Amino acid sequence: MSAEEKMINFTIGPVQGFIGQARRTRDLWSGSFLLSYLSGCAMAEIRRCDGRIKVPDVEGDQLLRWIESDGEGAPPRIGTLPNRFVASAEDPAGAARSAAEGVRSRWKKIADSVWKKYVEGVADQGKNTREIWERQVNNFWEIHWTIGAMEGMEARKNWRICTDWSDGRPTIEEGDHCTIMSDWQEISGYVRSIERKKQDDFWKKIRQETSGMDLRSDERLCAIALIKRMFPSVAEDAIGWEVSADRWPSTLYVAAIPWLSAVIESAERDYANDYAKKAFSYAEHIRREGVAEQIFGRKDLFLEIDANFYHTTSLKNPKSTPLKMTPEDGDEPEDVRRRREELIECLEELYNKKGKPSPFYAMLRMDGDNMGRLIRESGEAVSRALASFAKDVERVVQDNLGVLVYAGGDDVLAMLPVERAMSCAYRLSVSFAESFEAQGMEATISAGLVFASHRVPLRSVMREAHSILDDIAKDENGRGSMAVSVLKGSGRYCRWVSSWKGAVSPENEVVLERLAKNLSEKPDGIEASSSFFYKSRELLLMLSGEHRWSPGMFFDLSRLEGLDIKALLQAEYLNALEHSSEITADVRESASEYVRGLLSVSCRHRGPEHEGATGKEICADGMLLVKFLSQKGVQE
Amino acid sequence: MRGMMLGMLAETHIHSGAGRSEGFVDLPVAREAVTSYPVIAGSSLKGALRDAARERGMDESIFGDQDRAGDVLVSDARLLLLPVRSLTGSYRWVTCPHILERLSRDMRLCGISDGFEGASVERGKACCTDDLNQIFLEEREFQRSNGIDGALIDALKKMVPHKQTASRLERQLVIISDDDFGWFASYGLPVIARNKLDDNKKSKNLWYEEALAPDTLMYAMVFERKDGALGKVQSMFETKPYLQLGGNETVGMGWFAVKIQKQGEGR
Amino acid sequence: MYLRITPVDSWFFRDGRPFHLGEATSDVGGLFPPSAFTVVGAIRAHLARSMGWREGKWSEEICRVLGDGYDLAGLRFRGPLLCREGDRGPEMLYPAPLNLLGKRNDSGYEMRLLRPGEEVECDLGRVRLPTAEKIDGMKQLSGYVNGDQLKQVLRGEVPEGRVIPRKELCGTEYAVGLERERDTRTAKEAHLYSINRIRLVRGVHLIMGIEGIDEGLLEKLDGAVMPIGGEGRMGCVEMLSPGKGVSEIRQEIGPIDGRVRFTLVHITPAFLGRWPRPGESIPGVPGEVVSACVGRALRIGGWDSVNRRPVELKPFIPPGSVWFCEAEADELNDVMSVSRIGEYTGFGFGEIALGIW
Repeated sequence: MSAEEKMINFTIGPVQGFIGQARRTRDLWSGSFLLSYLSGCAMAEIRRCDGRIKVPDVEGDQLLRWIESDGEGAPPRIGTLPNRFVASAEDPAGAARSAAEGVRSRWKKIADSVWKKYVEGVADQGKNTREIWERQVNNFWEIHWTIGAMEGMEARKNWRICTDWSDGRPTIEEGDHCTIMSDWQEISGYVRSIERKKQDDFWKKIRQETSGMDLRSDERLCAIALIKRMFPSVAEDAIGWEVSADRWPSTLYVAAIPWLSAVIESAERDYANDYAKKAFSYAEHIRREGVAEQIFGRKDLFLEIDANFYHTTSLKNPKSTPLKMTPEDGDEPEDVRRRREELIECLEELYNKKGKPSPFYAMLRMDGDNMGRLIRESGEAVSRALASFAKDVERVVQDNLGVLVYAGGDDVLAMLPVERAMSCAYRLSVSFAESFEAQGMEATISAGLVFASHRVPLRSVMREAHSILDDIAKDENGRGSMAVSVLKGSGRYCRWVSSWKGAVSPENEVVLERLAKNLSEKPDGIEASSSFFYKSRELLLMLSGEHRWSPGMFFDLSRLEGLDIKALLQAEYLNALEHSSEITADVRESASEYVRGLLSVSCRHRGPEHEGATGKEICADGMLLVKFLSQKGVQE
Repeated sequence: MRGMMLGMLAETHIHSGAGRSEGFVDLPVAREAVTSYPVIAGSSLKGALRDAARERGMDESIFGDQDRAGDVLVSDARLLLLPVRSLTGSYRWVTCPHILERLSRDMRLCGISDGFEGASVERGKACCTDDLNQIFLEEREFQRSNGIDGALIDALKKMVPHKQTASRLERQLVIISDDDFGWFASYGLPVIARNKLDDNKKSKNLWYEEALAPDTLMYAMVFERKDGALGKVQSMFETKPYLQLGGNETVGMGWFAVKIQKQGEGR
Repeated sequence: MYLRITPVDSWFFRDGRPFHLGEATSDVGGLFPPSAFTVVGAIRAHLARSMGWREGKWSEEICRVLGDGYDLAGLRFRGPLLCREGDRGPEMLYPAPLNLLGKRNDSGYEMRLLRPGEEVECDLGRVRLPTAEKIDGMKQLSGYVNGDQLKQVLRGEVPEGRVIPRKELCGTEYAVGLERERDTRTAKEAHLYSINRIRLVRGVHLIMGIEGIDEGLLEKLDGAVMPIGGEGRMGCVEMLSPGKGVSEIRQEIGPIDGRVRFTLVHITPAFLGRWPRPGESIPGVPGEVVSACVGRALRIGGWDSVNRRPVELKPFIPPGSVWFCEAEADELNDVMSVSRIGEYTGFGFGEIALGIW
């Protein structure tokens, strides 16, 4: 599109501040859905002013249809509209102003619905609750627009000032702060250190209004976080259609998906369903029908229990997994304790037969590289490419047993079981490139993939996904890269990065996943491999002259001329094997194959713009990731 | 503020975990950012001192609680001498100029005169009192450099709880460059592979745990916010000069012998 | 007079987020460099102790000398600023100005400076937004610049050398704290919390200017060990010899066509009651704002240990932010005399450097 044409560039923020600050997967989904919905409201307003949305292509978008009261079929469940878009209109400034106004009034309506249903009746027990609420609701969004070329919007981002601020600056937040969005005051208005009782009473009341299941006893929220949390239950009133929040699996559930499908397709199915019956009779509010239906599309009681009942570690904890009659404080009565033990025994029996579910899940974030420049240069062709990519995304994620949280424009956010997450990311990158190729363009997408223990706070997971995508993949390794990190409850286990090209074999298989699969299939190799990995890292350190290893570190071996690193590693590996097996010619051959594979995932593979600069850089994290993916010997 | 020093000699393996793990070692010891030296955080040390006071039936309130700051400030326990295996003799106590410089500053903060010259040594060389030409630390070889200032040895001796142990100091002390030392501080710690076996004696869970070796020498500082608090801490160690710290006490880990350095006037 | 504050070991600075024992909290973040409120608080508490205070409220006598809360009596502070011992002696470090953009290339960083561009119609009205040629793929450089580099930016030039990344100045120590059950020695349910402590690289320290203090009292600071920030962490204080410390950095500004065009670069966070919009003026500064590179608000709060309650979280303009302004030629002297803007300047907030565009 030419710069002469008067384009509207429109954005709503803060994205990370709104979506990333989440405690549950449901907050994550609800945040991205709301942001997408509000962006759709802005688009609808511009279309009402006879404007056109240029990027993205919204022609087939159901969310926008429904916002414009023109929807068909099932209502949209996830956000599909990006928080920034390009449009044109006769009177661009006028249209942009109405669009901004449209966002404000729809947001206000949602906020009001939550207020009326959950807060109004309790507000007089708080201290300035109404004031706090209004201050936060009115000052949260950063709605920016520029008219003219795209560069204007880039420039606008440098000046973080909002016309919406009621005091001409960001708000002052007193008192205690929200336990999810820590920049904002929690709405009871009390200070815990001196008014604990009043604060607790206020939140107890709110919890009663929300029927207890939506708020945890240690959650004290600001208006924004409460709106995000409660929005699904007021959706019909606030946006005109129902969205069901009970379809959102917890991270623990996502982690268990491969195990669940193995159990349910095995001879243990009846046993498992009997266990579920028992669980339903011993505990309340643990039915997750929507989740099972969304992921498996089948009806089996076993798939419909709260994920805490799949893991003995959670089941052993009365606080996180209460049964009927479990007291809020103190010890469980004898009969409850017996029931809990009975459930644990049943589950352990199942473990003996079918193994344990993984405590790790994957969070995948992807976005297109250099999209700003592409949109400037090729405008609506980019829209067409993105529309075609968008059609693929949900299918690819579902094929890999994942759950799509958000997909709009060039952005993807999804949760996946560990096993196939890397393949899924790779498939999406291929689909992205192909969608652009079909429009005669070359484009790449990058990914930040975090394997996280369910114990790691969601907020940290989101922050990690964000930072490895931007800093490690795009910035450091170059476009068209995937950065992967493993977060255990105790910290970062490893961090690995590669271009897509470097990550797959000629047969288009993700090399790391194949190596991990091989490893998990021969249990005797585990011990040897563990000590081999450990020694290899020491070896690399010594050769590179570095003092200390940290996750994601690349060793520069270019100074060591004539070094045959493969021969060296192979010797180390055979050495490690010697303890358990005889070194035959076959063993030697397979060791050579194995080390070749490991070496290929350990070498630096940079994005296309850096291809000339490839040195002899090697990292130890590829091996760690293999060890992790094989799910052996890695603790939570 | 008046301060005093606690010399802490590890009598057993010590595992003061970071609660965080990165990479191969599943349970690494806590380390300083930047230098990577093993460290015991002031908050952990304070907790251990509080436990020790309670166990001795003494006043634990000087260490404060979640509502009160307490009457003393407790520093981290820092690494001073690291035992490293050597082909030339059983083991060596290794340290570096950076650590000694820090010791000198800390002694002055506690009003104790240091009286020793700062050491300097090139990469690949080692200061020691032997007349050997080379000295081996682990599999690394170092060329002998200068000897060691006698005043330094005296200052270090005052940090060592047992007379007999202190007498070995002169023979076993080695000073290497900061860079060389960094390597030993990072990788010279024992890593214990621990294995959990299933019923068929197959490895069910293998993990690596890092620890400080016995004979590691550390020190910490305690400052008083309220007059007389230092005396109370000192008296804790008069009858029983030991402190238990870190996890794994059930497998007999975590014991330090403690020596209080005579307190002087804070500047 | 300037004070050098060096950590005894690591430091922990709360950033005003919720943090209650007995609840599973995670990621209690650290704010670094610490806010002036924190550093001034530590210095005043130390001075109060040296005047006999131990616990509770300060005596009238102490308040007369040290003030109380936001009242500083006669005291005035500057900073805190970061300083690093280099080969050429101590080197003051300043947050990289936000109009400095960069992109990694194979030999380091390629940098550009933004300045007000053509007028663009946007939600702020018709405004000259900051821009530059060939900035595709570039982003704001977070990190620090030295005095020479800052001077170059103030002259409107791309600085030589590179921006010093934060990781070369300090490292973060992540720690899990837990309260153990006294009997079983196992971690109490939900009594786990994790915090991030800051450890400075050897040779890096804070510099804080102090004025309006009695000579005798000042001596109590030299060589002192004082608690600073959270968790009973400590800093040792040394007085720099007179004349040593931070020199003012300002670029000579001359009028062009009857107008003075100047930039204000924030060196420390600033609290303004209202953030000026295009065409408005900054309190105490002649002329009007033409354009700006202003970062996301830095929210600074704290803990009031006397009243045992959180201090309100206030939005500060982050250091590194830049205002592009214009004034009449006859206001030049008034422009040149600006060195602090906004509130709490006595604590060290609101310090700016002057430049041209």
